[in-house]
Amino acid sequence: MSPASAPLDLLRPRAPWLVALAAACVAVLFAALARPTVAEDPAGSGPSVPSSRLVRPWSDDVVALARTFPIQEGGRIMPIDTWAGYTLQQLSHRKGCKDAEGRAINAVEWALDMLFRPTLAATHRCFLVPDTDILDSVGLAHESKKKRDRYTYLELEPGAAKLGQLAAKYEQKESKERSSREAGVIDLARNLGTFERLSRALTFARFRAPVLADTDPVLRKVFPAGTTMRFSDLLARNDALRAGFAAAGPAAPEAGALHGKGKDPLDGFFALFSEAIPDTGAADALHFLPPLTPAGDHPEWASVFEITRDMLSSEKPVSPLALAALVDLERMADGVTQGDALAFEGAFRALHGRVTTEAKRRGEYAKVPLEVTYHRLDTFTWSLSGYLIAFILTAFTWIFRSKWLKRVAWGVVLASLAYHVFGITLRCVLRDRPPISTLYETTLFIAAFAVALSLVVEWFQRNGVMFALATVLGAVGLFVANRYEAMKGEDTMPQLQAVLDTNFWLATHVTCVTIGYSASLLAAAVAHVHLIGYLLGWRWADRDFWRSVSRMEYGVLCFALLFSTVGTILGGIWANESWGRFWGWDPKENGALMIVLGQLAILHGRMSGVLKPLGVSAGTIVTGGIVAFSWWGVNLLNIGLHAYGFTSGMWGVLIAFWGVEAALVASVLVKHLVTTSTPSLPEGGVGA
Amino acid sequence: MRRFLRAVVKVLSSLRLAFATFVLLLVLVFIGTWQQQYESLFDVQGKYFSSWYFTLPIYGVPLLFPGGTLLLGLLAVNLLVGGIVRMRFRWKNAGVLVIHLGIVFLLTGSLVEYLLSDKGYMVLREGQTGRTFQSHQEWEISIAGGDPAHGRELVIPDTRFSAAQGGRTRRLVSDALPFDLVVEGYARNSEPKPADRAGEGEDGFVLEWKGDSIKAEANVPGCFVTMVPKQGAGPKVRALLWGEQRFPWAVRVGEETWQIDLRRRTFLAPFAVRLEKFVRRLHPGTQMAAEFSSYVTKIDGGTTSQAHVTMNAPLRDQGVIMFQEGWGPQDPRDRSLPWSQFAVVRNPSDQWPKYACIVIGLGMLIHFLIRLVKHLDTEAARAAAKAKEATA
Repeated sequence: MSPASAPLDLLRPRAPWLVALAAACVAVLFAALARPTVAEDPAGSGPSVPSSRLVRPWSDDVVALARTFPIQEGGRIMPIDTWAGYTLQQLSHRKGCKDAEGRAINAVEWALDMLFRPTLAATHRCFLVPDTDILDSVGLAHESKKKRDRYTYLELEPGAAKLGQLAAKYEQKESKERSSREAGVIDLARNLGTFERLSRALTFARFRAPVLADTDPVLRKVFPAGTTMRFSDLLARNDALRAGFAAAGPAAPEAGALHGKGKDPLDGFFALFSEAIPDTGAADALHFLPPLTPAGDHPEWASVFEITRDMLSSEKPVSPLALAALVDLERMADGVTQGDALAFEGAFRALHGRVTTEAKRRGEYAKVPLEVTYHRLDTFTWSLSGYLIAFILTAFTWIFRSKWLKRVAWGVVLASLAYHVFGITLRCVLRDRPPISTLYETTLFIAAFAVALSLVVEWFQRNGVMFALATVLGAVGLFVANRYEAMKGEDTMPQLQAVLDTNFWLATHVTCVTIGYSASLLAAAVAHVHLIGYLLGWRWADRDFWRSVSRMEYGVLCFALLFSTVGTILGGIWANESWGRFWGWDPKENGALMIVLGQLAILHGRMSGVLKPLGVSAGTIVTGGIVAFSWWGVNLLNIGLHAYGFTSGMWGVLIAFWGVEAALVASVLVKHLVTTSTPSLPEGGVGA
Repeated sequence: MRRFLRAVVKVLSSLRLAFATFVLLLVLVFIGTWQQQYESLFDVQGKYFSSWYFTLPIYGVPLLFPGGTLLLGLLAVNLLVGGIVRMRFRWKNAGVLVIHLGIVFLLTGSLVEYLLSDKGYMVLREGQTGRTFQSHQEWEISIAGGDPAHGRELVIPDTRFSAAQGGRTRRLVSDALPFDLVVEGYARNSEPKPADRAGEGEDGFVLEWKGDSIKAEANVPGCFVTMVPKQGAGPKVRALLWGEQRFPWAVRVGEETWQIDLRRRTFLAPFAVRLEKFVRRLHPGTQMAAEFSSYVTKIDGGTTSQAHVTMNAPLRDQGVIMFQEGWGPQDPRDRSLPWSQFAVVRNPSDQWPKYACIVIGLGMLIHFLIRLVKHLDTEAARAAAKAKEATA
């Protein structure tokens, strides 16, 4: 065996090796847990906006309370931490943004500003504008800005109305026919709408109407003169108000503004609430009030709008919990207005206690703290960093050939994989689901499985190739997951469509097919090493090395075929159970079938002698392209029964990927043709 | 001749043919997937996957491609001749042989489903009972009536008259009928509209062709039919038939009245079903369905039984399977009774894919174990050789 292909001999269970691994694990965990959750503000400068007189930044206790505060969104109970994270991602493609002074704030701080200090939130740079063309279309200025940059609401607000009009116009078009500028206009208009809705969500808490001598007589009968009516007062005294307005009869021309101008005596009553909640959509944005009934009887949590609507329509009194919660919110709003941080925190603590107690009683709070921990650990970002570090260490080992360096690299990659798998496991626990039920989760799983499989093959082959690929595939996979999450700006743990509500098929068909994807991509990665080595002539004379590479590629390809085939047939059986046909030529089904056919063609071509090792590698790379089509491409076609997997905006990336792959295969073909027609070239490798 | 046959068998059993077939199937599946953006799934299946060949214009040049029937047929022959008949029966091939047998079984199941299954849907409102189901895409002309004592009904599938377009006619003849029916002007997706000129169309109406829908089930066909009495008893009568007309065309021939209808192909189930209750449960606070469920009573002769049909849990009985497919009314302002739509399938090979999967999985397991034992033997031999070399 040549020295170059000698095994790295890294896996002997020696004490330093175990110490390195354990140290790496502890380091990653410690780093994740010790990471500060809020950015510091060394200057401590107060804001210049009047509505934000509370001391900045939000205290750690307030942020911690906000993180674990439960709301109902997308059909499930989630902490504000989750909701704030993906809402900000929708606007900014990041889970943090910068305020007017350039200070970094996290998603929860941003959400607190949005709800309680909307004027200040309008100065946060939280709107990603991917191209200044979008701003040009509505005449907004963008001097001193980059082509792709982040803006504040105040900067975009002058063009908001025009953006809304243009977005309504562009939405008439089929999504496939929209230009990137038109799609950008629609996204930006939607994001501005989200901001406006959320910044008005707690308007009711800031409602204050003093009872004066010229106040409507009905109100003066209910509320003593000199007091100030709050929204919670209106709800608490709604019976008396309704009776008062009904008894007063139709409004006299000289009646107060609140009394209404209609013929119905209750017009004034309704007008009163309209004034307190001027934007009903905004008041419906947050569903944070659990009903005082068992979750099975009444699963929906209520928003302030819904509480008010139900009270007005049914004439039933508002629940004591809702009333107390609204009083808490008003006290919080007062705390912000008066700059009283203690009052704010005290009221928030009371509200948090009320809502979580009720949520616990209904059995809906158990996983909220764990979900906050999941976000806090940020397993996938840390694993991504770990894979990158391991890759850099591996690259150094190519130069320095240090055994210790290699051992540290192994330790880092194993720790990263362990943390990566821990993250996936946490998601399974949180969701009560097998590891894969969404497109986002496929990327996490595919990356983890590819790393694990690479390391297993490396254990047997020990030539360093699979180890290097493990670091690359882990990093690339998690990078794709990260970008996809940022691009979508949605809850990554959504409720599932009714047809997907089956853990048996998710655990069998989906897992098998995804393992097939992962192994196919790993085989394609090995094929890249083979073809690039051939193109560059790197170690081409080392036949043993390239034979071992080909063996690995073949082995992984067979493994991929096994899981792709079983997974595809299991999918057919599921379809037969759900829709009454084994095979319906649906695009997603066809994508899986194409992978199987591609791999069968390669194996039969290899057995028949049609494909030599280089041909097998070229075919494996083509199969990798087919996996990309099946995984992402068919979702972009927006056709078929697998509508739950639709996505958009990925064509450019996919076309670039296929273009690079096609260029690689074409280059190999050209070189092979030239080489085989030139007898003087030296022999080597396993490409002939 | 013997040499020729041997050569044919050699080609049909070759791995190269398997390779070529897999590559062509891969191209075919890609084309069929891509074209679903422009053609309905039903049309794509017929044109690409269930055909012997097809032409596809590439930059205006029509290219000939082998269709799914041809390629799957070739693959089945190659599997039978090469993968099973000509394969050397050795233990090391046992797993591969079982895998190939499983795939042949799978392909046979698909063929049986393609040839013998009936697929359709049944819509029931709460409290309503039904026993027939209708095809999503296939249509038929039903001719019913005549002698009331016998209650005859003759149905003619659309494959018999859908070519009656562009001036062509199709004459439907039966000994059971006192007349022939001549079909013309068939339009696969059409709508009647008042004629612009007097004398045009029939009864003042013509058929407006609307172009094929991207969803084949949304197509509503129409045609003109002329009833031609066999023994010259009475005049010819012409009428317009349209898929969504509310009542069949009634025509009198001699003393008998016949009802002629263009309708979705209709099948009779071996049992009747009454929808007792439809339940649609949403994820809280959303419009996203967490569950669609139909609670039904199955009526089979004199016996009744209760069943719950929901996603991933169909009702199976006597070779017929009913799946939860749709629901309504979807407009919340519509206060009419809820209805449930079932996909209904009669498929003799319903469970064959499951059995094929077990066979294929078993074959893969056997093959894997054989390879593993071989690999371990090789490694042991290699280690022994190394040890020998070291001691030497």
